Amino acid sequence: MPRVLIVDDAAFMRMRSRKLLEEHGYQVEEAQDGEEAVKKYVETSPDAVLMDITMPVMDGIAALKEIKKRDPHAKVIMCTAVGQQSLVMEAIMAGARDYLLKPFDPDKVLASLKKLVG
Amino acid sequence: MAEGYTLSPEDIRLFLDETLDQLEVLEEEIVKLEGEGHDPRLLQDMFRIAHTVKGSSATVGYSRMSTLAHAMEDVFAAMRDGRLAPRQELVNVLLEAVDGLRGLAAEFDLSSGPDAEGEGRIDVEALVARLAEAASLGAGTYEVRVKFADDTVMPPVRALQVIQALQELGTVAGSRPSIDEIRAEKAGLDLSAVLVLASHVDETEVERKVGEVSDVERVEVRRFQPESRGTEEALAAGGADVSQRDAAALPSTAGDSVGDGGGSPGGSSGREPGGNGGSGSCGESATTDVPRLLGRSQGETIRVGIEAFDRLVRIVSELAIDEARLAEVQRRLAALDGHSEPIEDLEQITAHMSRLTTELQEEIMKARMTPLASLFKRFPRMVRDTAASSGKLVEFVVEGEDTELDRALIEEVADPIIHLLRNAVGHGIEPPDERVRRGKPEKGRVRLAARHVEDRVVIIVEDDGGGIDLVRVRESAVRKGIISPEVAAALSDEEAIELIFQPGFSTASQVNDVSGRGVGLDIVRTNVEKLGGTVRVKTSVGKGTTFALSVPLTLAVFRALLVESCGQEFAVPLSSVVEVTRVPLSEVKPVGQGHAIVLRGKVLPVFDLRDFAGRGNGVMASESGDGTPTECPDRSSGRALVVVARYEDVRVGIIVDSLLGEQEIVIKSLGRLARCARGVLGGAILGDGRVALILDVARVLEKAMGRSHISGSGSEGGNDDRSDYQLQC
Repeated sequence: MPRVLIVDDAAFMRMRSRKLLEEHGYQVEEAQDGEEAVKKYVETSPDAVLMDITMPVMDGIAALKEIKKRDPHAKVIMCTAVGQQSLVMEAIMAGARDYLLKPFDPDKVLASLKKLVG
Repeated sequence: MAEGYTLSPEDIRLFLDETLDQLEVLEEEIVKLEGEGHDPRLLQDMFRIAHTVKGSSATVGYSRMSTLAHAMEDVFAAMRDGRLAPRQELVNVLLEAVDGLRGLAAEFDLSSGPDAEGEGRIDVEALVARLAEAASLGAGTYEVRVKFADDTVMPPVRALQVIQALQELGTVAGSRPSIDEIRAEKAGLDLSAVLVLASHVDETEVERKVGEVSDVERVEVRRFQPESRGTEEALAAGGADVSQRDAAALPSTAGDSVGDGGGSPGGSSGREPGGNGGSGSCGESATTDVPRLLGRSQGETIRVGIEAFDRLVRIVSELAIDEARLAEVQRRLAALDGHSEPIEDLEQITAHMSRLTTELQEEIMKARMTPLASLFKRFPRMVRDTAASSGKLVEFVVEGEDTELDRALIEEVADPIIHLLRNAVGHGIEPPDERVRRGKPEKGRVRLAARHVEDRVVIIVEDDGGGIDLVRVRESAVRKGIISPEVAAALSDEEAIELIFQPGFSTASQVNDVSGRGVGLDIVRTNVEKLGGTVRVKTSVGKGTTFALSVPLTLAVFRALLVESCGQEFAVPLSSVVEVTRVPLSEVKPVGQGHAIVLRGKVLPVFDLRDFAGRGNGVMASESGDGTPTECPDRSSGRALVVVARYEDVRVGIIVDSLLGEQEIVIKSLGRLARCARGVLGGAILGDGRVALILDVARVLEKAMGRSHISGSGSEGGNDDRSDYQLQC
């Protein structure tokens, strides 16, 4: 069962994502900021990460870069709101594999994960 | 194509000059390529040069040259596309082709135009055949078009993802929109072309890779056809970054572009004539000018023939002499007539003219300064060839190529450097197996470095080879009769190494093609010293050898201290003058074969200019133009006037009769005379028309130091070497 780390500072968002992913056969880990995400990534080596861009403590891009440093093959999907194009661009250049627009279209979330982890 | 030959001789000359410049760069890059392997940027530039040469030569109707350049272009394209590796054999063929292009440029007859029928000595067909053979390998270049879904969020980011995905497969040579545009977030739902150079994958793999990116609705992958020149044109515009910027010129489809860039109407400048050879697809107008703009950006200079420039220098030099003479006349008039108004006017005019002349000279001298890179870039090829033919492995390092030197001097130091580099590779560096046995890296290292040291340029040629065995040097010198066994035994190591500069000396045990041609380091030293330079060498057995050439920045004009001895004026380059002092004659003591004084507790070798100038030498007198030589003044005052001069870190005292002052002087060759006068660099015409001899401080110093038992005529230590320093021809 592929494992996905969901990173978001909003508990509500984490809960919705968890529900969706678990319904479709994914095992889910959660982190509420970038720092925790890096820690969890190292501990649990998930198959993919769904990472919010805007977060307290350590934002999504900083966390992405930290994770990439530790695992260059990390598959990180950035979650973004409209109007963050340059941040997403930066994330892609830093090695993010995909990006999803919030609020999530469930089909797109699943399609993106499927491409990355099967 | 011949109807295109309506260009003026000036156009042709520009074409030839530019072509030769480009070939020099190309040669350098080919050699670099061999060392560095697949470097897309380098290959792109090589491709561009071949392409430019092809276009320019086609424009002047020189079909043999454009044919050869075209064949090279194909090879570079194949290498760039990863279809061909820069193996040594291939590099050899490419270098031969560069030589071929050079030969073709040399065959080009200005009066009759290009010889399109091919009567020349360069066998273009054979070269083309070999190049074609070398390039006849598989293909691996794909042109990719991508359409994103209509509801794609942030399409520029998706476009970037596609580019990144393709970069994992190979090199992305260009795209539309360009990578820069995509990063600037200027991209829509279409990536209308991405050119990928990927040698190890097929179309399916490319398609699959792009399909991994979300929102990709459609992918088209096709093998890139070299015939689609439009794309090549776009890519020919420059290196990787540039080509990305220019990639808007990529055709919308590969098949619809027309024609061959070679036939396109080039600008009369002959630069980047293929720039508009692409199809009329979108982006055309914006991009065709880019190569031209690139060409112009470096073209803000005008070419002046070196002869024309030398004429300018000569005229300015004459002007400086007249200016000095005018000032002299003004002084004489002032002495006669006190402060009359016309004389004061004259004084103002001469003062102003003096400033202008100085400025003019400075500007001209500045313009004569050329970075050594123009010379140094010839050497990687030579070192490579020398290494290849002598079975050595050599890493060649060049440093300080930005260092500027008088153009005339650059030409003059070329041969000595070539000689030293060949020696370093051919004799200095050991064969790879021997190096390994000695615990050294298999690859030897030869370093060529230049830097300014005060008003001189020091050029270092260094190798990490076996060093010079001074025991063998002594033996060899004795065997060849250069010195007697007794002298050899008495020589210090420092002196012994000087033997390698003796005529007829060669340490090479065998004469070979590389450097043992019977002319040796004596020629190197002679040539460098003619320029007022020196050659010094340090060696350490097993560790390597370092040669240091030191030459003045310029030959033509410098400031000098004018001194006089027995009525003859001498000029001592001001840069070598340390101080002027007076000492009691009784303190000038004979030491060895020379004399010395003690100055502030240190022994200073001295040299009396009378030994050089005096004795009523007739040659000097007639040159001075005012009759008989002046009597040597009486030194009964008991004091000697000593000019302390230095050469590098060694000092010498020059005893003179009087000081005449400082002056900017222009060197005149003394022709026959100079050959007779070791110790004289040349002559300078003074304000009153007389000639001052410019002292070669290095030589004077050598004399005063009593080194003449090596460099002089006799090994017996006789006193006859003084004749070297007299003007007796």
